[in-house]
Amino acid sequence: MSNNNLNNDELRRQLRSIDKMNESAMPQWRNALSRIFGDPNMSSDEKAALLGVPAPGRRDLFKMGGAAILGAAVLAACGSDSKDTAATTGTTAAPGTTAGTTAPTTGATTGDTMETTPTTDGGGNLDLTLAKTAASLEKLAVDVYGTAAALLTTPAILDAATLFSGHHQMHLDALNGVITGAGGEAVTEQNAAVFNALIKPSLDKAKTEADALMIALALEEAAAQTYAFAGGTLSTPALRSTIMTIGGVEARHAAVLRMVALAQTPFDVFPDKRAFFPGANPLEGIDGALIS
Amino acid sequence: MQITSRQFRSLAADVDDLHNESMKTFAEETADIHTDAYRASRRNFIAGSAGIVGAVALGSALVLPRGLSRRAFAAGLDDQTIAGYAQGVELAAVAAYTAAAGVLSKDTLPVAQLFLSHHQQHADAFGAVAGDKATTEPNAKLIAALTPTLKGIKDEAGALEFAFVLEGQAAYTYAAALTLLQDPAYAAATATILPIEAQHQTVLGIALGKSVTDVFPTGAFESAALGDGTDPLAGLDPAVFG
Repeated sequence: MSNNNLNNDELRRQLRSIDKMNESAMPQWRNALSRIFGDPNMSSDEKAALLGVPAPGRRDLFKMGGAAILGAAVLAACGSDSKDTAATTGTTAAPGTTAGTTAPTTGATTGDTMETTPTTDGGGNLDLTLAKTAASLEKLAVDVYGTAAALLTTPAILDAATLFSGHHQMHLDALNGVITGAGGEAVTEQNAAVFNALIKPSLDKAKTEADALMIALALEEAAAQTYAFAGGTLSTPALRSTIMTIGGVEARHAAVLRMVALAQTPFDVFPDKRAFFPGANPLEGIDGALIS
Repeated sequence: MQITSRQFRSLAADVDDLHNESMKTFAEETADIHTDAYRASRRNFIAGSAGIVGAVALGSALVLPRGLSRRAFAAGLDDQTIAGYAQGVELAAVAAYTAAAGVLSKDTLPVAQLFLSHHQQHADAFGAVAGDKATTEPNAKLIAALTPTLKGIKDEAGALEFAFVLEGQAAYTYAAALTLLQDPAYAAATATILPIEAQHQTVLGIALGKSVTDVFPTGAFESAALGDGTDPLAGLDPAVFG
């Protein structure tokens, strides 16, 4: 079984098609975001998990570290349902991991390992803070894609980066629509804490197109892992399902990146022959990541 | 891994027997499950809260574009029953990969074997939490439904296309199952399995030469719809295959 090579025209065609699907989904996302932030009965932790951002009431928010947040960057920007890759980590994480993440590669193989932390209401209505944090991460993704574009030499891949950056911009716009609708001020700055902790060092090291692709891959896998975590953490079944209908697609993105863009084999899609997607929380704390 | 025509026919016959046998008991089992008792036994369930109302609204508006079957809800399946069902589906996937292996090339066979091993591990994981609903047999109804297609497979492309559809249906089944599973622990396990099935389908699609769009058969969201197995874009409804 070998991977399939696409020519540039075909790739562009596919990207346009994906873009069209994404655009059609955006109104629904805006709706969903409004519901999430407008629902006074949904706990802050649930919203945080849904968005992929740290729960403000939890201590581990303040020990978020490493590229873990980059899973959040995709999700965090509020569950970017799309197949976007987000900003760059600048890290070329090993398959199945995200740089700086020490998540196990199996989430559940036996009943004994099926442990989750059910969400509880952390108290306090920090909806707006969560939304702003998510928006700041989307802005970060947009900005970093712009910077990383300089490394992309293959026209079809550059097209993809432009497309994905556009997705993140749409996510940012959607979040800002919610924020301003709730009386807040639109986010126009990237998340500086996350950039300084994670992005800048990695970005400084990125030199080639392959570096950029690995960054995208790391992001997609981090996103999928974040969703897998949230899928077992959210306390309502409907939300778990919702999250995983997105998480599965992120996992597909990673597979496509590996086989089509990076010419890897099917075995590379499943590091260590893993049968379970990592389900540990990739969202550990990072000081100052929360935008209030 | 090779399988002869005789073995294949034997497998199909066994499947038929299994199908008939299991039908006798499953109906009884499911009949014993009553919605009220089910609800009373739930842990960590916030049904009735406004939160779940919002969640359902979110799901229906966003993530279930093809509509979610309500039949499974009506059946009142509890978590252990769902786990047992999933175990049977996974074991059916193992059986299907085994049956289709004979037409695979030496390059493709190792990939199929990897996927088969994944499904076996998934089955084991579900079985570990299925309690008295655990099974050692593939889902007989599903095997019966798959058998005609399996019999028609003549070459590798046919086998891969068959697996492509089945993997997608498995992923969609879990997306739907997550709307049913009440215990977060069961959901957590399922959430780590769904992406693997999705990746299986993606890998198979790429191997088949499908376009990038086509390896996202339901677009930007995995389907959470359930069906009778004839729709490649819907999961395998426990009300049909249970």
